Amino acid sequence: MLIVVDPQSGVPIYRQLMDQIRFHIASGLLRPGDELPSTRSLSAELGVNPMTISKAYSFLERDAVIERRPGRPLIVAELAAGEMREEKMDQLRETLAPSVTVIRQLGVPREEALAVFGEMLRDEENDTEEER
Amino acid sequence: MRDLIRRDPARGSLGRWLVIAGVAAAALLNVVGLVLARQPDRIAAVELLNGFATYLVLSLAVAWVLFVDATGERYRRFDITLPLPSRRLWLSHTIVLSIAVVGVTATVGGIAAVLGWALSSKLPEILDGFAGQALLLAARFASAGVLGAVLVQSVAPATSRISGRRAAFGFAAAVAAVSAVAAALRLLPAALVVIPIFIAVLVGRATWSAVSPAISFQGSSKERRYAPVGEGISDGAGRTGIARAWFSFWTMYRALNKMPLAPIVMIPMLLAFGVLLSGVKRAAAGGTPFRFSMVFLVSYMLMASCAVPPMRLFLFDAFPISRRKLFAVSVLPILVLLFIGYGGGRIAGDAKLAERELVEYVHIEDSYHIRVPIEYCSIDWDGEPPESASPWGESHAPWSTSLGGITDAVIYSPFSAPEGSSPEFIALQISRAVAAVYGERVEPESILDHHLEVGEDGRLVPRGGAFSLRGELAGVRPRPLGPVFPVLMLTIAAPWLFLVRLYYRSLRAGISLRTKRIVYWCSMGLLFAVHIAFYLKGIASEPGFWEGSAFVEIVIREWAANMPGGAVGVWVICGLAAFGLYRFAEAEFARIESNPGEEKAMELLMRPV
Amino acid sequence: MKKLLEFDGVHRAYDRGVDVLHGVTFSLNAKEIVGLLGVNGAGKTTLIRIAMGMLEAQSGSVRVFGMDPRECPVDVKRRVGYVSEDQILPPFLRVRDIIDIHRGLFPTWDEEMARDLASTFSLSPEAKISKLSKGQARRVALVCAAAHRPELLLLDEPAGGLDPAARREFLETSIRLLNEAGTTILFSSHYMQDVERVAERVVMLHDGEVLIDRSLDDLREGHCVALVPAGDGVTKQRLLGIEGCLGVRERTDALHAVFALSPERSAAAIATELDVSNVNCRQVALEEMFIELVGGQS
Repeated sequence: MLIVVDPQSGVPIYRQLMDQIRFHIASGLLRPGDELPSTRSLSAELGVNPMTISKAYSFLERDAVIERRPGRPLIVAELAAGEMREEKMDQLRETLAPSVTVIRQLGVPREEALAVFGEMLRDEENDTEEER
Repeated sequence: MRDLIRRDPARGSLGRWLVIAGVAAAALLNVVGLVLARQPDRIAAVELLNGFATYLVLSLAVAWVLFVDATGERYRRFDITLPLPSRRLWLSHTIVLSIAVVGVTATVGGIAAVLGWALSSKLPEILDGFAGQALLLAARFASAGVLGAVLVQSVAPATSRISGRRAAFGFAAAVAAVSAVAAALRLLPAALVVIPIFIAVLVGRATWSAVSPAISFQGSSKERRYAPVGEGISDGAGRTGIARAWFSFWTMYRALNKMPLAPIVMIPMLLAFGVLLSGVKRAAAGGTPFRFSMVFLVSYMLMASCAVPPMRLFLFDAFPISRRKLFAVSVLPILVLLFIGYGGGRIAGDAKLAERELVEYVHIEDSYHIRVPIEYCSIDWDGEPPESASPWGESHAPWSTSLGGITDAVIYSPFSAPEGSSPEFIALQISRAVAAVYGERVEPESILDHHLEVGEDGRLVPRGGAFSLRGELAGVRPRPLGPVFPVLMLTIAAPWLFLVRLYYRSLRAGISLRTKRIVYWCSMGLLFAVHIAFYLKGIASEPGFWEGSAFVEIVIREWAANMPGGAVGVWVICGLAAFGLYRFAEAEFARIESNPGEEKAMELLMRPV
Repeated sequence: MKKLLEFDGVHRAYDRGVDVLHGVTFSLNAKEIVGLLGVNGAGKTTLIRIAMGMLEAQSGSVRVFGMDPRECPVDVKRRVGYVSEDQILPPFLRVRDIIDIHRGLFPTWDEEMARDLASTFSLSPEAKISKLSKGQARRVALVCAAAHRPELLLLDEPAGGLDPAARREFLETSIRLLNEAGTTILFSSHYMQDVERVAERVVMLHDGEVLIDRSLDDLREGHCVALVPAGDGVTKQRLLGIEGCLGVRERTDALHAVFALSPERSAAAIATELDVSNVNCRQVALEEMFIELVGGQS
């Protein structure tokens, strides 16, 4: 699974795991029903304490993002279309939150900030189209 | 330059060299002292100094210094990285090496010279000129040694360490040169003793100018022939039983001792001491027993063998190997070698003993004496030995010798027959002697009839010129002299194990290196000083002091005779005592705290300054 | 839960009253991975050596599997694996010889694991230990320590002087041992990233005492670093006086303080006590917290 752990980032490792798994689910890399690697194998692969993996998994389970089946590996939960959308929005909000803080600290007015944001999105769409 | 000399790696070996000098001096004195003790065959000690034995001892001492240096690091890595000309490094190490050689020979010669000078007034006919000759001997070896040092330094002069074939070659050449030159100097007038030094300077100068500007740092020779990765890891899983036990033992031994020096030095030395202690020389050729006078020297050597292993215990810190096992590995091989040497000497000695006539009727200084080995004599503790009596009332004062003023006790021979004894008395005494020594009864009448006759001057002389009881005593072995072995070994072990325990106690983390050094060197110094003191007293006092060793052996014999259980009882007591001492030292060994950082410092431990 | 390793009031001094360890008390439960932190000379190596029975605790007690490692050294060492930065292996042995020695000494030796580790680490069995590089020798030590599936693994700066790839191998092997054999691990390290990855609990020694003994998550989430701009009334003493403050470090224009509180509560506490509001409180990675804590002890 494509997970990168950065021990220096200031964010606890279990949180990093949770965030990255959620992102993969939201972006479609992990689909509902896909199996997740076992605690042991993921800990061996990442070089991380298995308890940390366990913790991340249990939080994700608590949030109903992943499901536990008796005697079988954990799988990504089935999310209704509405729940999936909500998940994506949550991800988006989390990503934008630091930017909002920066915008306020820089003292940029809202309209300008929105204009910049719209411009960047348009540029990104154009680039993607050109590549095709 | 002085700074370089101070930092020179050879200085780390200074302690070892002092040990060698000490042993060489002691060995030299042993040789001299033993010969001096052989009365009445007194020869001038000076002749001994030119004999083969002394040359061998000193050659070995110098060879040792050169060997240690040839196989060690000559220039420190730290100094190589400094902007110093390589010639200077070469010169400083050559100087230090020369100083070491001169130091060892000077120590040996000096000790001998000082003793000789101090005692020459008491024993003029023996020690006349001894001091001067001792110094001359030392000078010859010192000068030859300097040449040897320069020769060793001329092999690959710009390499920080020589190894393998080159080291062996350089060392062999140097030692051969030293021995040959020293022997050659014997034949030359004394003033020419400095010739080798001139040669050394010439050779040194040539090497010095030829030293390449860069010193190559040589760690150790590299060998890169490895098996494929991963394979072979499981080889050796099949080691079982004896092979495994030997592998374990050998690994522990190798880890704890400086290889290959330890076995090369230890094995011959311990065997030699064992043989000496067995009294084989005395058994073969007569002379005074001296075994107990060597006790402190052997303790000193045992103490020297114990210095290294405790400092290497850190190698086993992570292994579940008990300290008891490690203690056994560091101590028992030494004792085993000593015992083997002793056993071998005893076997050879006993064989020789069976051939000799122990009861003799010999002509010494104008008259005939009945002579038996002194160990079969008796002791009178008050200094007033009883007269030897006969059934018909004739009695005479026995031959006796005091012990040089330490105690009132005297050793006396109950079998002596002084001037004026009747023939019957002489025969009676001989008969008694035979009974005591061989346990066989030979009638005095038989002796008188077959072996003795009245000579021209009316004295009793052996019939046929030489007195021999071989006819009656064919195949009879002399009675054993009592359990000397256990007592001897106990007296060697006791000071050693006490002091070694003190040394172990000092090996804790937190005790400064200086303290550790003091403990070790004071113990060594104490043993050595006691040994030398013993010899001093021996040379200085009346003849009779040398009988001290015999005195102890007689005491042991009488003790065993009086003890319940006899000789076995003595063995048991000594065995228990030795075992107790062993455990006593082992307990302290188990608590040693060994630090890998001090492995380097271990070199420093061996420096007394 | 069973306590595998217990230190209770351990004292150890070297020269004349200079205490290295001054009453250290903490313990390890089964299957924990604990990181032991501290500046050089804080006593980490001494503590681990005491646990191995190499040094004697001058007062206090240490129990490994309930036993005193000085009294029963062989029984303890049979179940412990030990790798240290300053460990010296017998230099005259070959790699396969030293593995053979361990094979014979440890009853729980696992040949499969030994082979597997040896091949992962690319060890050459014929190589003489004296000719190995530092990293290779350390790997040999790790194979020897791990292949007998120890119940307790004591690592004293095992990654000191090693390249990052070698360091990662150490971590992965430790994790593997935990997963496969349920090994408890105590390791001291200066590489905070490694500690962050692998430790679940952190014990920090300072001045011979235990300064911090917390789970790593709690340390990260329940602690923060506050940057308080210098100004009137802002002194080290006053900050230290605030409850929850663990240490204060004076810098050029500000004071850095470590709090055992969340960022919000720290900011609130400082605002209340010192009447300053432009305080920057944030959660930080272990390395920064270590620096602030250690620098902030008077």
